[in-house]
Amino acid sequence: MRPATCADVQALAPEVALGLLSGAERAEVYVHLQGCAGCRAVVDDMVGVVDDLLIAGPSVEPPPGFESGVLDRLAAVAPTPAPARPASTGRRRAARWMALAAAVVLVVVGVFLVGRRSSTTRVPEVRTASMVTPDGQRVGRVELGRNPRTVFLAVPGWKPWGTDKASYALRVTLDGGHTERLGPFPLTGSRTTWGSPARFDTTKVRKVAMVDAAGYVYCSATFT
Amino acid sequence: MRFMREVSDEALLAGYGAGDRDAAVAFVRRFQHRVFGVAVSVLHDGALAEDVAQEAFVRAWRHAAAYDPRRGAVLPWLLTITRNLAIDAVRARRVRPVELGDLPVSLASGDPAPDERSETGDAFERVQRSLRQLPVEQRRAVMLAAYGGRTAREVGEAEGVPLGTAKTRIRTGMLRLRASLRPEHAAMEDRPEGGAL
Repeated sequence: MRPATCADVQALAPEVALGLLSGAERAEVYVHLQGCAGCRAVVDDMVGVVDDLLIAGPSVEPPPGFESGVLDRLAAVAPTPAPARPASTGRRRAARWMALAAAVVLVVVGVFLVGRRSSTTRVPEVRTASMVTPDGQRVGRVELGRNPRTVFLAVPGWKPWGTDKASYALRVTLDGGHTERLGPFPLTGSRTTWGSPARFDTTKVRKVAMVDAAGYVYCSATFT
Repeated sequence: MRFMREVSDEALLAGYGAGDRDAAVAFVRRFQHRVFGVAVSVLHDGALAEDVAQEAFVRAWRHAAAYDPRRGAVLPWLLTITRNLAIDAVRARRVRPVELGDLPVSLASGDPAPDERSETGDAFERVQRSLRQLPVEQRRAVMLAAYGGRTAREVGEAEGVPLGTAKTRIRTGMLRLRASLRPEHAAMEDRPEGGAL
């Protein structure tokens, strides 16, 4: 059997996007896609059309207990936490999910007793600042969530030096000069985002710097 | 620096994937209606849809670290996970494949409910408009494939046409949707490949 050509693959692009191909057909297409950026763009476009169809789909109220059901499932599959997790949590990840599931049950009962409330009752604030290199180039952004306390980094403008993968950490400077460290985390050519819960008060953050293993600041953001 | 009223979908997913309990509750609450909506649309079985929708959130948690925002927004990523799981359930559990009449009423008939319009806004109307422009045979074929999880062969059997005709209807329908929804990318010429449409 001859290898799939661009004409073959582009004719199959709708079925690829819809997930309708057999295993053998899919394998043949993917071999071609690995080496053909043009056909990858066509397939990506078709995937976008399927995304549009899904986004326009209905919004349906799930049955009572749905949220706690999700959390129960997570508790059943959550792995043992890694040693690098913040000491202040101090609990097994599975136990956290179970506690959360119990808390959600109580919340659901409370909502039932006092009447329906908007799903947007908790509206956390977020501060965002641009991540800029020492020579002034904007390479992304960092978001600080107030409640829940989160730090999210997106640096699509990051360019690796030499290798396609590098390890970084975030050095967070708070009011008064105290610093916190988050990470390390990897960045690669295909993954330029990272996020983490924060054990500190994110409203007190004044600066976030992305530093490499040698302590060199690749980029940073300032919050006033 | 700017303040936003809500954490972004990306940041919420990052917190969810990291195991943050507040982020988990917020993530499920933000997307559960849409996830359950897709599951019900494909399966047309409330209990099975609930099972699949919950599993979709678990799978999203497992793969949160692999999400790449450059490839698309969080919502379609999550809904694709849901659709794939739902279609697997159709095929593995021999669930009755959804008939065209079972499809989301709004998408099939073109008459969205008021709350649906407020939820999806422009995206819904844009897709509705594009679907209405398709010949009915192509619209049915695309919807059976996208929301019914039907293969081309199953579409052909359901519509009483040969496999080749079913494939042509799906392909041509999708190409026309692409030209309508993404005109800047529609470089391919809409070429029916022969046979009845």
